Amino acid sequence: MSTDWNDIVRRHGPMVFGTAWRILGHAADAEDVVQQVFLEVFHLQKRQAVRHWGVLLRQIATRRSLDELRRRRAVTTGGESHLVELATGEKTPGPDAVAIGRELKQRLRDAISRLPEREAAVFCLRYFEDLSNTQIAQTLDVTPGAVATALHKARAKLETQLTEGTD
Amino acid sequence: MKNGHENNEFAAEPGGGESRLSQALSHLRAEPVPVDSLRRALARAERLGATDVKRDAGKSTSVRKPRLSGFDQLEDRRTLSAAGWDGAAFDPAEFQPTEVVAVVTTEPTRPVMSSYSTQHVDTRDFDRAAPWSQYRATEPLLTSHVRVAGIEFDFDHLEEDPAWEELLGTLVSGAV
Repeated sequence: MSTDWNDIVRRHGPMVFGTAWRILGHAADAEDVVQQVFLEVFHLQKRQAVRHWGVLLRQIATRRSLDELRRRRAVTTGGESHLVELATGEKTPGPDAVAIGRELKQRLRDAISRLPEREAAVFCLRYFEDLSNTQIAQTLDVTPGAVATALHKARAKLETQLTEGTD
Repeated sequence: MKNGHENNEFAAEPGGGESRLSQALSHLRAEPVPVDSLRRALARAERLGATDVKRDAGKSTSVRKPRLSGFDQLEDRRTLSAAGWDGAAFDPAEFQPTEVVAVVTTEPTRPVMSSYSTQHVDTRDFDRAAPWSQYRATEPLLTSHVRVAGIEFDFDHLEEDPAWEELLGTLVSGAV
């Protein structure tokens, strides 16, 4: 086998971790996802040649992170109702703003976990990874049109979920 | 990271302010990546490849998901047999509980002994029926060294070590 595994890890590992970290926001979970992703791709590359490691790893990292996010939601109940009181929409500096930010992040992650898989993946790749629609299409092996549609739906659903009960 | 996407893509608040989604994204994207955690993740991933690459030839059971049967009673030859080991002359006295955590024998014609150093792991924690997720909690499992029959080997250079091949041959022939 000619694959330089350590080189692949060094080159793409930070991206895989960053993807997991932004979606999950939990260091230990992100570490587990990184291991899961590399294990998966390690076995995969023995069955078929990998031409674009970055694309493949980003795709798997996104999907596995979303899997973990959904799993986490399945075992967690509540925890978001107090956002109603915190999210005033005002840019208040200090502890309140920090608390609001934390709550918003948590609520956004929870809302993402409720999206259909493709919409969640498209949204994360666009806004966490800063990929263009074309790059997302390549990563997820779908058409750019499908990306645009999924992105539109995702944004609308997330905006609705995040706004519900806060006005 | 670019920040230009969302400003013109998210609906503004009724009062003209930033949308809730845009606010949430701003907070989330501003989270710094925990560097220590990143380092740990990379080390684990590198080790995974290094161990699995070296140990994978001809086997269907990976290092990361070894067969769990036989973890808890390594001194019992019957357990080794249950795990696929047929080297009747294997001397369990050479295998200290704190040294060996896994026996993987999946190749029918050439039993292979795989073991992993467990300096920080108490093998008594291993449950034969434990799912991998529980087992994983006892890390560090992946290590650069293995200790078999009292001999320490460097995983990263296992295939280059004549003593390893010699040991495997000895185990297969039942001469240990």
